[in-house]
Amino acid sequence: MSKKKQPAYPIIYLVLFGALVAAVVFSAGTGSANIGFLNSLKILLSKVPLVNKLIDISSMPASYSTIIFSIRLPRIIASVLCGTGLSICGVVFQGMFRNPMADPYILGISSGAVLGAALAFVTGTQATLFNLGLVPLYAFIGAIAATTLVYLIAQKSGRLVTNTLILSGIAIGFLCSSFISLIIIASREQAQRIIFWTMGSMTGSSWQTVLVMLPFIFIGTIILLLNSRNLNILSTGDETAVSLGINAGLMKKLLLIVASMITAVSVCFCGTIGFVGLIVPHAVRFITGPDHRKLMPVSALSGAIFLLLCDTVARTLFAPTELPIGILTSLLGVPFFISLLIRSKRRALA
Amino acid sequence: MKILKAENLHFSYGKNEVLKGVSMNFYQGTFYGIIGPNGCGKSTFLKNLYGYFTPSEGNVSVYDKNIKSMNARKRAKLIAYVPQETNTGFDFSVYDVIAMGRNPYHSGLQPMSAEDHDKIIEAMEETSTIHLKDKSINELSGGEKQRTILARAFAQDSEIILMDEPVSMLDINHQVEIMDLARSLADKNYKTIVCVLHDLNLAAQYAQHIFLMSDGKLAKSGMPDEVLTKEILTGVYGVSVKVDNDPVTGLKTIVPLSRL
Repeated sequence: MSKKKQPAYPIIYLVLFGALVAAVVFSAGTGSANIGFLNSLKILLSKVPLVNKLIDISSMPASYSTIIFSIRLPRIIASVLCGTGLSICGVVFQGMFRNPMADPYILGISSGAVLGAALAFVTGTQATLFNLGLVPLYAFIGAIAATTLVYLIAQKSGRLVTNTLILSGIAIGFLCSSFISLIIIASREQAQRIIFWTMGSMTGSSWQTVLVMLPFIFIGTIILLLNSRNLNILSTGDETAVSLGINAGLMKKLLLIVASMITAVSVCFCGTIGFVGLIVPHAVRFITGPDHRKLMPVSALSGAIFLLLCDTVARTLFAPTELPIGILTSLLGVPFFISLLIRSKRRALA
Repeated sequence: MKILKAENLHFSYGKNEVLKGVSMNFYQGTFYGIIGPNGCGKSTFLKNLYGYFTPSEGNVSVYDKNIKSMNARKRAKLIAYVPQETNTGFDFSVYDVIAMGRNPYHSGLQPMSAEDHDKIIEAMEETSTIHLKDKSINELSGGEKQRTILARAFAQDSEIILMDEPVSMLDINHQVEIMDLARSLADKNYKTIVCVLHDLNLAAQYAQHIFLMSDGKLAKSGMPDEVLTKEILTGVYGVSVKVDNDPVTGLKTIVPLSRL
């Protein structure tokens, strides 16, 4: 747009997409059965139409293919979906609320989800729905209930006031947290599972979870991307946005609902993975600037790569013991982010 | 020609009625000043004019068409708004901020047309902001920032521009610069400017017609000479004033008198 020296975006997208594919192949080849990058690439390509005629994987153990397609690939796709969803929702919440502290969990989604999951743990029912187990279902209900409550409290004569939204999000978050603490104290044997769940994990991923996550996160992400310019205008404040032809009230509601759905879906399957939705948007903003038309797609791709790499480390570093992914996102992300903060002279936010 | 009409506007924040039946007519190519004490409803009135607030009673119409029947995009093509102080938050470039004025002419991700680009350049030339275009809005001085926002309003290509105390945060040099610019938009570009002003001397100097508001109502409407009198101002503001005709400029000057 402006004549300022801009990075060439087609190239950035190409590089990021290439990096994502490489990360997928790398992750599929890494683990207790060390398949290796090249073999992993071959096995993955063997399922791609046209190319598969050129690939011969008969020399490899048949178990490799099973490991990749039944165990690792669903987990990889779930990580990519989660990383995409959380990062893009972080961008949306920060832009919409004009608040650098905003993240996808700002409206109480995470604590609602944890409360739901905790209830599922203590009731201990073995019932399942679509082979998915009750924990994600309870967590999803908890997340949506908490956000709806926050929204209803904040909604004042049809006009959404940002500060009221954020404050009621904090209030409901604390309310849920005290219930969670109560459950943890009352049910010691479940405490560890609950705490582990709050740190996030991709362990439970399967093709079923991927199948449920995919439509929500994919369609949601498309809707958010289509509104990237509206988000630019919205980030200048309601009064200005309305004067520039945006129905700010309606737009905020749409973005809130879509972003909450995406967040709720990823939280209910993967737990509350912190940090990604807060820091990826900031880190990307250092490079792309505040224009959401660039910020959103670059954040989505970067978040996907980041979370996938974190999960790969999480499951391999102390194998067979898994680390909660939330610990890694902070351990790996914070030094990188701080270095960006120090090096960058640009102000991301006034 | 009458372009903008406010009829019997009522508006409340909760139970607190701020506008108690305000009617004003605005004619094309004129610079209007709206003055009045703090809390009299000037800013609220302005926000009702461009559809940010919806009056509980009464109507706003542009060319006799009720703005309630228009969507936000349609309204934005007719009415632009310059707030008192602009804090965009994120550090968009000056070009990007001005380009936002073209938002009502696009839907979705539609890219900018050559016409959009021409309008943006024209707006930058009119407001002398072209040398700032790659700077971040957050790096600008108060005067440059307001000029940028005025450029955005110009790029919006609407016939009506509302301004809410656009110079109250600026020093006298930049006040004159912005007010001159706004007045020339009325004189030269035939825009209708509706400007809420705190400073009565600025109102005397720039407005061709003044609306004086008091306690949610229109107290007086007329030429600066008719409205800015000792009796009227003392009555509405509750402070003694000295009103003179400046021998050099021929304009009214208003000096509030201390109670000490």
